[in-house]
Amino acid sequence: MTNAPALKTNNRIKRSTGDVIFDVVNIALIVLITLIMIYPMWYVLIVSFASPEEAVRGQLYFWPNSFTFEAYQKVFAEKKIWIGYGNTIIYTITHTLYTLALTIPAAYALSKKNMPGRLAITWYFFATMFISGGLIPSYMLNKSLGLINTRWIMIVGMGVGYSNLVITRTYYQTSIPSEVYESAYIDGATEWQTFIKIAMPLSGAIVAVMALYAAVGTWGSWYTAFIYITDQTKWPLQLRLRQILILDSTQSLDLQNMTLEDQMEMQHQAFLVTTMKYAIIFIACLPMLVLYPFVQKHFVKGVMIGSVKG
Amino acid sequence: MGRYWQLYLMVLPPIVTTFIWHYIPLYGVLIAFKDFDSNLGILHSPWYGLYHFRWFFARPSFWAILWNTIRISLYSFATFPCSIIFALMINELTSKKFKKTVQMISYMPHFISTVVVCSMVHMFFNASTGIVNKAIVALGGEAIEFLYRTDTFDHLYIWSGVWQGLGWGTIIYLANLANVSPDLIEAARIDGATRWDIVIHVNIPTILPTIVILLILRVGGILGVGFEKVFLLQTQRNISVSRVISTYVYELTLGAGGSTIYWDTSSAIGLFNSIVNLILIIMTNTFARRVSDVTLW
Repeated sequence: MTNAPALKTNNRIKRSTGDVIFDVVNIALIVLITLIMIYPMWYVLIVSFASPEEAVRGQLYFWPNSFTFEAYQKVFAEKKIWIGYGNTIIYTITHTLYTLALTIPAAYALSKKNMPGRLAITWYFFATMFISGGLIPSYMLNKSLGLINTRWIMIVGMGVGYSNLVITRTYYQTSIPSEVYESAYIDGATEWQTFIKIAMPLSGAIVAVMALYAAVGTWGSWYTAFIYITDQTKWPLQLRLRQILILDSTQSLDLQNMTLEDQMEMQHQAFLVTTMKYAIIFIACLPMLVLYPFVQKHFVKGVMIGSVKG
Repeated sequence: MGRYWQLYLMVLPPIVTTFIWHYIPLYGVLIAFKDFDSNLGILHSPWYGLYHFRWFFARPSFWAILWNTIRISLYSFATFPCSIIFALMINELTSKKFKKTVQMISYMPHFISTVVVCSMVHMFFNASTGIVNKAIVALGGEAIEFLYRTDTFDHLYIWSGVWQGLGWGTIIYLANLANVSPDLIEAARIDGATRWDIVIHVNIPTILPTIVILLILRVGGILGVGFEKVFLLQTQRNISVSRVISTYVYELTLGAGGSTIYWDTSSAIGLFNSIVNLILIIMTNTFARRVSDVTLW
């Protein structure tokens, strides 16, 4: 999947004026788009470190004149955010494991073209993409299962998506030659043994892709908690973020230790709430940003495997 | 069965979870045809025929909600070519390092959660502290309350989505473009084709099947404007343009604080939505089968 040979051939042909203009315009536009892509993230970062006065009153666009950790110090003291953080970590790990346990063996089984009923099973999962019961029937189901307002609602569930199933199945079909299995069957291995002893050791890449898909999804999810969890100590981070950042409910921040001695101080505290919000965004995105350079290629791989028609 | 029973065992757990969390709620759809009483339960509540559907269609707000849903959907559909164009542009970059950097940066927003993206919209477009309004004021304009107007919601919703998805959407096209035969390009170049000619006559036809597949999926979801982002960008003052089917269903039911009066009605609305989606996707798939050999099934 590399186009290195294409580059080589391109160079052999003399570049015309038209080609040069083409390149200049193309590169200029791409640079512009890339700057637009990165700027909002950069802006969050600089505001979070700027003094509250500069952030709110000043003309801060590219580089802060002031630098302070004040917003971060205040955010670090916010217990509710860290409870949410802890909950999200728990939900992310457990739900990811749950998803993997459901997806990987099933996809392996579906990769066996000779399994009777394979098509029917595939349709059974495929249909879930187009028909669903909707909000209330799902709510009533989870209620009768006793999952409302429990941590379980964040962990269990369908746990398997059609597209992930297909990506994983395609991986097994294309990356492990069937001869490998054939010799194992001749030696009398059962399906379970071939899965554990042959397929699993070769599954590192696809397990990584699926784990990351599930982890990123769970990390960012708030809807399930929003619908089913009213107990705030069980809230994941994203739901808390919504409360603080979107509903603008700054009462939900523990600002009681702020002394309102005079007007200036009061104004400062009001401005500080703004920079705190930017600091919260940065902290909420930090795990992703740290992991991103290492995991990016796995995500891309997932899309690539998915694009091979299985 | 014979030697296959272990394979069935492997596929059994997701069959069970899918049955519980996906197929059982389908039975709950019956509620759409009943006069639901939470004391009686779905099964014992009296039948009500198509009353809820008629009630919903007869409401003036139905048409507003339907229009909001379709309008937002079509607008976002119109930005579908953005990723295609961006992929074709990236594909023309000759410096490998530059290409990698552009990809790295443009994929990044995809990893930011919906809540954070919507928070950023709320904060950047804030009337007093947001950077957008500060820039407008600095340039001599007047601050605009973006989130409290009815004429700005669509743009905020759509373009924040483009920002988030543009780079990520290119991956699948770039993967296809990497498969273009270098010989084909060379031959075209020798015949005097310009770079532009190659984009039009080689690269675009190469990714066309992928475009068709993704288009089918998009058309199928035309009434499926997701709940999450619309809801997060919704405010009391933009609700007349931001109330879509999914947020309305929530508003009538769980958003109504414990009241179950509209549970049956909202299920009818949800069912109507699903049926339209299903019809649309079948229609597009049939159409795609007629005009090309690319189909979903």
